[in-house]
Amino acid sequence: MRYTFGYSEEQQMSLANAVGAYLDAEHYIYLHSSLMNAFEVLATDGRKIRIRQGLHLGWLRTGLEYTMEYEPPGTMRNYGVKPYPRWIPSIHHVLKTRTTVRFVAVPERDTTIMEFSCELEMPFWLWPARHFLGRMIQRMHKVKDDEDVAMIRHRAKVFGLEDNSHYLADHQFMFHKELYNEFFGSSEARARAAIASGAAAGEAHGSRGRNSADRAPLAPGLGRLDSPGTHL
Amino acid sequence: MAQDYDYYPVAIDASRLDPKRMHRFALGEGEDDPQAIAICVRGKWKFFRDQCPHMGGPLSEGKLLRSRCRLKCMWHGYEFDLEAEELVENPNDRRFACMSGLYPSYRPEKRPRFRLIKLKAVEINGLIRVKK
Repeated sequence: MRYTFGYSEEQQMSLANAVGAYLDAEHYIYLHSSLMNAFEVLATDGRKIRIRQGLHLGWLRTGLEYTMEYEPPGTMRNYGVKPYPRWIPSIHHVLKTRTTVRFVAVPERDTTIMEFSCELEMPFWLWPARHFLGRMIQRMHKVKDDEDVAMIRHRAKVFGLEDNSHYLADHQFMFHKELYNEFFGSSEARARAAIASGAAAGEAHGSRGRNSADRAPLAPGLGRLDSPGTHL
Repeated sequence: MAQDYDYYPVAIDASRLDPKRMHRFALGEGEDDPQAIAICVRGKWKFFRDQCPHMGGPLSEGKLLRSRCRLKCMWHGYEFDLEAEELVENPNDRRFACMSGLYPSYRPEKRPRFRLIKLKAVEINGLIRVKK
C-alpha cells in the first residue's frame, strides 16, 4: 500500500545556494548533529551515491543506508533505504521510503521554492500508522531543512544573496562538484539553471508551461502543507 | 591619543568575563553591527569576529576544545588553533578522501590559509573597547 505526502516552502535564497547547501557534504554531521554524527560514502555510480549515516552513541551504532541521486539543476532523490546494521529492528525492514527534494527558482522574487515529497510503500498492517510515520519523516526533514535555511540566510547576510563562491572554490568538497560548477559556475549558467529548475518542476507536476510562481505560497518563509494523498 | 571613533561603541566590563568560557557580544547597538567573541588563551584575552573565515558561520556556536587550545566551527567542523589563530584541521579531508579522485575540480591542496579575524582591544578603567 502506498502513501504519499509532502510540503513546500518558499525562502529568500538563490537556487545556487540552496543546491550548494544540499550537496555540501562537509556540513552534514556538524550542522545537523542532532540527526546524525556519522556519515560515510559507500559507493558512487555517476549521479548516484550510496550513503551510510546515523548516530553513534558509544558502542551503540544505528543508522541508515540509502542512495542519493542528483538530477541537475535542482532535484535530489533518496531511495533504497536500509537499516544499519542490518540485524537491528527497524521500520525500514518493512517500509520502502522514497523522497524527492526539488528546488525551483523564482527569479522575479529572488526566492527559491523547496518542494519535499515522500512516498511510503508499506504492508497493510502498517497502514493505520501512515500519518504518524509521515509526520515523523516530515519532522526530521524539516529540522534539517530549517538548519540549512538558517545557514544560507546567515551567509547571505554576510556575503550577499547571490554569492556562491564558497561552493565553487577548488578546496571545497561537495557532492557532484563538476555538475555543480557546470550549472552554477557563472552568472549565465545560474540564469539558465533557474529557468531549467522551473521547467523540470513543471514537467514533474504535469503542468508544462505554468509559471513556477503560481505554485508558491503567498508569503516568503511560510510553508504550505499539501494535503496527504493516498494511492492504493 | 586614541579617539573615541577609533572604537566600536559597545564596551565590555572586564570583570564579567569568565576565562573558562567563550563570550559573544555585539560591537554596536544596531542589529546589523558585527558580533565578536572573547576567548581567554593561556591567560590572555583574545578577541575575534564571530565569523568563521571559511564560510562565515557563527564561531560563538562552535565548540571550544580547551585541552587542544582549539575552536571548532559548528557548520563544517573546521578546527582553528587559538594560539596560531588559523585553520589547523579539516576533519572532512579524511572523511571524503575516498572521493577525492572523482571530481577533478576538487583540489584540497589549494585550500587558503584561513585565519581567524582578530580584533584589537584595549582595557580602559576596567572596560574593554574593541578597535574598528
